[in-house]
Amino acid sequence: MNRLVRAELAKLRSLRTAVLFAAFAVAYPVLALLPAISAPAADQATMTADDFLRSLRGPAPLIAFTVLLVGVLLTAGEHRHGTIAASLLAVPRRGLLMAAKLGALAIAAAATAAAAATVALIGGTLFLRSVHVEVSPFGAKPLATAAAVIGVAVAYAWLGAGLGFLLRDQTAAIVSAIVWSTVVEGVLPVLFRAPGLRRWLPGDAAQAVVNVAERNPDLLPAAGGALLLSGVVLAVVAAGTAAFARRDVA
Amino acid sequence: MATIEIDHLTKRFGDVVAVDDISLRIEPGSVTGFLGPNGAGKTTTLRMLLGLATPTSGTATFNGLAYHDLPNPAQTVGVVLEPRFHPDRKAVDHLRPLAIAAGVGPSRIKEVLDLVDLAGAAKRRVGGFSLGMRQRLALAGALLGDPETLILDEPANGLDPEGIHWLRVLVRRFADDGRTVLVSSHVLAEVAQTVDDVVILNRGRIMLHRPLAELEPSLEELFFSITAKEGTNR
Repeated sequence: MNRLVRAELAKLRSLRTAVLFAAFAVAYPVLALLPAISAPAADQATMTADDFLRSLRGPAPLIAFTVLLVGVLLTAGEHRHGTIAASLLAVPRRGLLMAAKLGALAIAAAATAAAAATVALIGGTLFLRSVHVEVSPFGAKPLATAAAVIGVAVAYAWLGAGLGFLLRDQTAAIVSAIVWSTVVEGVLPVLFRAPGLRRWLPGDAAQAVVNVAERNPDLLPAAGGALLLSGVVLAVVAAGTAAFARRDVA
Repeated sequence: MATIEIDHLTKRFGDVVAVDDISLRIEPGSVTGFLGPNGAGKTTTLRMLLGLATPTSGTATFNGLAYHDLPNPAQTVGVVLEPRFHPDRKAVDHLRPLAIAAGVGPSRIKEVLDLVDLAGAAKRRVGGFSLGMRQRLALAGALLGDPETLILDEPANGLDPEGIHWLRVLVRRFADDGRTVLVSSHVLAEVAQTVDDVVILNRGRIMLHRPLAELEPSLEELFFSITAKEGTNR
C-alpha cells in the first residue's frame, strides 16, 4: 500500500497544475492579509487578537477548494487523459487504487494546508505585532484552528476525489463543485425560506470546524460540523468508489 | 511463464454482442497474432483479459489467475494499449509512478528508456511526442517489470519502418526466451512476418486459430475470405 501511495504522490508531483494550485494555496494567506496591511492606520489601531484567528480562518475555504481541485485532477484527470487504463494495469484492484489516491491526497492536502497555515500564523503574527497587538502563534487557539484548517483540507481533497470518480468528467466535476459552493449553498436556504438550513450544508460545516477555537452561534459546534462534513465526504467517496468499481474503462 | 486462457468469454453492450463466447489458449514461447477487421472485438477481448472491462460471462486468466488477482501484474504481463499520456508529464514522469507501483527501482526506468531509444527524450513533455515516440514510451512502460507476457494492441501504429523492424526483433526475442506474446493488429503484412500462431476474430467470434505455417492459401487471402464470407452471411 505504501508504494501505491508513493506512486500516486509521484503522479501529483509531476502535474504542473497540481503544483501551481498547491503553491497558490500556500501563498494565499499572505494575499488575504494585504487588505489589513494596506488599511488606514486608524483602522489598524482598532485591531485585536481576534483578528489573528480571523486571518487564520479566512483563507481556509479557498485552501480547501484548491485541494478539492487537486483531488479532481488526480481522479477525473486520469479519465480525461486516458491514463486511468495504465493506472489500472499497474494496480488492477480498483478499491486499492482508490485507497492509494485517497492516501496520497491526504498527505498532499495536509502538507499544503499545513504550509498555508504556517504562512498565515507567521504572517498574522508579524503584521499584528507591527501594529502593536501582542499575539503568539503557539497559543492553543491558533494551533487548534491550524489543525482544523488541515483537517478540512483533507476532507475537501477527498471530496474532490469522490466527485472525480463519480462524474469521471474533469470539467463537470470542477463545475459541479463551483456551482455547489457558490450557488446551491447560497440559494437553497433562500429557496426554502430557511436561513438556518445553511449551517447544515457542507460549506458551513467546514466553517464550523475551522471555528473550533471560537463558538459562532450561526454555525454548528465544531464537532457537529466535523461529523456532518465527514458524512458528506464519506457519502461522495463511497458513491465515487462504487461507480469506479462498476464501470468499464475505455 | 504465463499461459493465457480465455474460456467462453462474452461481452454484450445492450443488444450488441461485441464478443461472442470465445475460447482460446495461448502457450508460452509463441507469438500469437490476434487479427480482425475494425469492430471485430479484438480490443474488447483484450480489455476483458486485462480487467478493464467486465465480461458478461466467461473468464480470462493468466496461469489460472484473473489479471486483478496477479500478485505483481507488471512482472507478469506488460501491456501496450492505445498509447495515452498526460501531455504535461515528462516521459520519465510517466514511467516513475508505474515503476514505484511495480516495485522496480529508478535504474530500470533508464534501462527501458534506453531499450526503446527514448533516453534522449526522457525529460521532454509527452505532449510534444510523435505517435511513434508515444508507442515507444508505452512499450517502455510495458517492459518495466520485465514481464513474462506481452500484450500489444496495434503496436506498430505510428512507428517508422526502422521502428517496426526493431519491434519485430524485440517481440521475436521475447518469445524465444520462452515468454508469451499476444499481438492484436489489422496490418496483415506485418503480422505475417512476426507471429507463430494466428487467431482471426470477426463479429466477436473466433473464425480461425491455427499456426501461421499451416495456413493455406496465404494469411491475407484466408483473412479476406473469412471476413467477406461472414459479412455476406449476416
